[in-house]
Amino acid sequence: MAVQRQRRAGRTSREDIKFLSNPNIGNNRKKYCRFRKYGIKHIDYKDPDFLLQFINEQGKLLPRRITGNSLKYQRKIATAVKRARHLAMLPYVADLLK
Amino acid sequence: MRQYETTFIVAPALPDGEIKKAVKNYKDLLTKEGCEIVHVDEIGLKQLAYSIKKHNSGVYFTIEYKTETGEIIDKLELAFRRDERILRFLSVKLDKYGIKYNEDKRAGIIDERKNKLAAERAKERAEQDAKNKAKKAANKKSSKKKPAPKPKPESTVEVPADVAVAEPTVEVPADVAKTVEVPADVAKEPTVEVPADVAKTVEVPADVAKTVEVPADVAKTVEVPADVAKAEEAVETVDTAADIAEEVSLDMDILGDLTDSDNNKG
Repeated sequence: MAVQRQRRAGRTSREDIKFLSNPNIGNNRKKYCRFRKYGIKHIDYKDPDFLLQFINEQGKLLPRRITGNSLKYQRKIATAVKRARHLAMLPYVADLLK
Repeated sequence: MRQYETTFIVAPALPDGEIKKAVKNYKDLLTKEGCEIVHVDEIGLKQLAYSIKKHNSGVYFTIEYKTETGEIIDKLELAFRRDERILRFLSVKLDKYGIKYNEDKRAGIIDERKNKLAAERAKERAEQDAKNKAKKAANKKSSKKKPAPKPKPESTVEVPADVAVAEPTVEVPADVAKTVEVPADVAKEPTVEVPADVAKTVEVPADVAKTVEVPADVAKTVEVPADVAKAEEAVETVDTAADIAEEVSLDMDILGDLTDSDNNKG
């Protein structure tokens, strides 16, 4: 019986893994710095909708390894987000921001 | 001449005209100090991300101005601090890109460009997804060949386990079954145990020698021992073998379906 159960478990888990796993997991999309690519030179701190792309659900800044920004523009993003927070356009702390 | 921009939030719950008066007040202050006002942007009433002085919304204004020295900013900010109607303020020096950006924004170029960029990015993303899909499909095809040959070598190992069935001792096949049955996971388990059990069964053949046909049937079926162990009573091995043969073929079908559907998907 134990053997039977083990077999069942083994089979179901194999199928479940197929369907539960993220289908996009193999697609590693190449990251790039959109500011360099599209020649955006200035980041507006009065545009919270744009800045929302660079913060996570808690309103924290996303790291460069996720956004793909170059260091120069990541720094500008950081200052812009901080200014937007000061002007209450973005929250300092949040939950379920997106 | 340096260009600065000051953004400030005015309390929303003010009597009519009070807000406009406040803004005019600061504009006058700037012009009086010899600044050149470039533009005044009325962003308007906005919800605040967090409450400031018990206010949940505020009226946003931005004044852009040019001045020789930055001294005016101290005076302006002092005035802001003294003013109770002002909730927040922020003064920023604009670099050449900032000036350009603001000019473009006034001309409506920024919104246009933003929409264009968004469309471009969406298109690019779709293209890359399609590329990835093609790549994945190619990988699937090559990997599809691999799983098929796997079960074959295992089936040859199992034959002695079935031979053991003839014996009254049912425990031995159960052990063997455990190690052999999960074909996918076999690699993980220490396969060293198998020969030990098998060694026992090798002694048996004296009894088995009569039934030569059995292994031939069993050879097809990978999972025979489990079902046999379950039955424990004297089971007709041929029937189970037939059943299991069906099962195995079913499994193969399922695998085929899965891979096919994956191909379609990815």
